[in-house]
Formats: sequence, C-alpha cells, structure tokens
Amino acid sequence: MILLTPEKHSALKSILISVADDEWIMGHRGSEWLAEAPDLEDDLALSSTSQDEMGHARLLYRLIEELGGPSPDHQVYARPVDDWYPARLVTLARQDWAEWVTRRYFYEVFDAIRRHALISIPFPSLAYALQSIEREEAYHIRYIEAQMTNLAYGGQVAHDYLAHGIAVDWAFIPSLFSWGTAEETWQILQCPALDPRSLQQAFEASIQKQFATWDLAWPGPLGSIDGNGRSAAKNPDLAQIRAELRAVRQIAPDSHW
Amino acid sequence: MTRDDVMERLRTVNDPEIPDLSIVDLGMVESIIVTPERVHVTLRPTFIGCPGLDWILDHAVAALQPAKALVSYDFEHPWSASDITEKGHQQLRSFGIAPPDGGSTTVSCPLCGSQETHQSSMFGATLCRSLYYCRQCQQPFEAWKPI
Repeated sequence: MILLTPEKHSALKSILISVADDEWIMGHRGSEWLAEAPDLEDDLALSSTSQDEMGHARLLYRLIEELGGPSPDHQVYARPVDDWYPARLVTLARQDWAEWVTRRYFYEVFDAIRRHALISIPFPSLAYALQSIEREEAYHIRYIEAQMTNLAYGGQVAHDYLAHGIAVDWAFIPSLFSWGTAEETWQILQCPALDPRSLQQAFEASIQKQFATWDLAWPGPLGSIDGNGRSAAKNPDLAQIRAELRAVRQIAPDSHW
Repeated sequence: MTRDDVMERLRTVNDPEIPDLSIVDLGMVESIIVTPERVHVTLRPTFIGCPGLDWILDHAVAALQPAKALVSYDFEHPWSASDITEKGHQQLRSFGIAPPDGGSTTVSCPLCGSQETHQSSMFGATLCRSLYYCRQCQQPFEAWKPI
C-alpha cells in the first residue's frame, strides 16, 4: 500500500467494488439456472462457474477490507442497496437460456479485458489475486464460447433465440464500461486501459472478430456510456436480488458462507 | 511443539471430499512458524471459491490443540496442482481421480492406466475436477484440473 497515495487508495476501492459486485451477482444469477440447464454437463458448469465467481468476489471484497473498507460479510449481507455497483447487464432478471448464454459470454469477454487492465495498477495483492482468478476464468471462457457455438450452429430456431438474446443484452452492454462511483477514478489511478472508452473499444474488437466466425450479424453501434450504468437508483432489479441474497442470513443470523 | 509435530498433526486434516488425502499431501501447507506463545500456519487455498476452505481452516486449528494456533490462507501465493506430493498423486489415483500431469495433453485412466481417454465435461462435481471417460475399460472417472 506504500505504493498508493490516499487518493489512489480510495479510487482503487471504488473500482474494486464494481468488479466484486459484478462477480457476486453473476454467481447469483447463474445459480438461478441450477438443475434447469439443458443437460447435466451444463448444470455442472453452472455450479462450478457460479461458485468460482462468488469466490472471486469474496477475494476482492477481502482486498477492499485490506484497503480499509468493511468486511466481506458486511459487503454481502449488510450493505445498503444504494452502495451496490453491479452493472445493469449482470443484474437483469432471468429470461431464457439463450439470453443467459449471451449475457455470460459478453460478461466473460468484458471481464477478461478488465482484468488485463487492472493488472497494471501497482497494488501487489490485487496482481496476485488476478493471477489466481485468471487460471479459473480460462475454463469459463472456453465453456461459454462452446455454448455460443452450439446456439449459432444449432439450426434456425436456436439461431433466432441467440439473435434475440444478443439484441436484449446489447442495449445494456454500455453499463459494463462505466465505473460505479466517479467516472474519473481511472484517471486518478493513471491507468488509461481502465478508461471506459478503451474498455469499449477492446470489447468491440474482440466481439467483432468472434461474431464473424459464428456468422452473426453485428447488432449495430452500442449506446453511449452513461454514468448511470451502475447506479442502484436506476436499477429496478437490484433491490430484489439483494433481498434474495440476504434471505437466509436474516432467518439464521449465525449462518455463514 | 516442534515444526515436525505441527506437520504430523496437519497430516490428520484431510480434504473433506477425498477422505485419505491430507492437506499436507495436497500441497496446501505453505509455512509453519512455532513461537513459545503460538503456532502460525499459513495455507495456500486451492480453488478460490472452494467451499471446503473454511472447513479445512477450522479442522487445522482443532488438530493443533491444545496449542494456540493461528491458521490463515495466503491468497497472494497461489497453490498450483504441481504442489501435490507423489503420495498425494497415489491417493488421488486410489480414490479414482486422475492426478494433474503437468504439461501432458493426455489424461491416464486412474483405474487401468490407459491413455485412451477423453474429457466428457470440463466441469465436475467439485470446482477442482473435470469428468473423463476411459475407452479402454469403459469407465467414467474424474481428473484434477491442471491449474
């Protein structure tokens, strides 16, 4: 921490909370599909990837604690709804399987780009955490690309479902690129790769290349990145998710992770 | 309590899902410091989200009683499948799990030793395992993910 000024310290905390919240909510939304996936292998994948994501979130919440923030337990069970910063895309209520596959695919592509950007922040604990996370995420991206391929080449109906999932998610993609608390956090950290516009460019380049291999039409220009993409006040699904996440703890206050 | 005593006690703490495999042979023990007041043990977590991590921590503390033990995880030095000892490899095989074989692209069947195997699912019953099938003995088996 000697490497970070107090200003950077606080900017880093606010960036990490967005990342951790995305991971936590993706884990939660993924678990909603358990036992309902198309086949058992997908169920196994869902349980592993969801557990992985929640583990990654917990590790990032621990880093925030190391930086002087509240405990992981507080973050998950006691934090007021207005202090949550997941992207609108990851919080969307459950729809159909193809939408879940596309959401997961878009998220994994974005998350990999974001991890590569985060690694340039001079905070050793974060760099170590990202290294460990990266090894597990390699399985996630391989799995979800295979699912995209299945839908893309699974016949006309599957292709239509996929196109619909892409159209639904596309409108919410810009919410990924914004940073929760203050847009200038990436400037304070002097990390240009975290500039929302850089993240978007890298994301579009990556998606464009893969859409071509799947014969998928480009869904058109992305909407502009607005600062409300992670705003709790503008997120109609967040309060409900938070209530679900806290339900067991509220019935059994001594239960743990 | 000496360092060797601590190691001996930790050998009694097994992976909750692989009964004969101790956390020592799993390569989770990173460091042991014994002071007159207490024992400090640092463990390397295997998979970050593994639900067994808290269980292992509690059991390590219990195994070291009556010594006062401070057991914690070091998330900065990632565990790697290559940390599993040779004995750990044997125990995994006898439990029907193919141990990670660094760099090898084929996975040998832990039951018959054949290399005529294929992955049937990248993900398995726990975070650390994948599912395989052996075409030689026609048996399904699990393999430790090579991270």
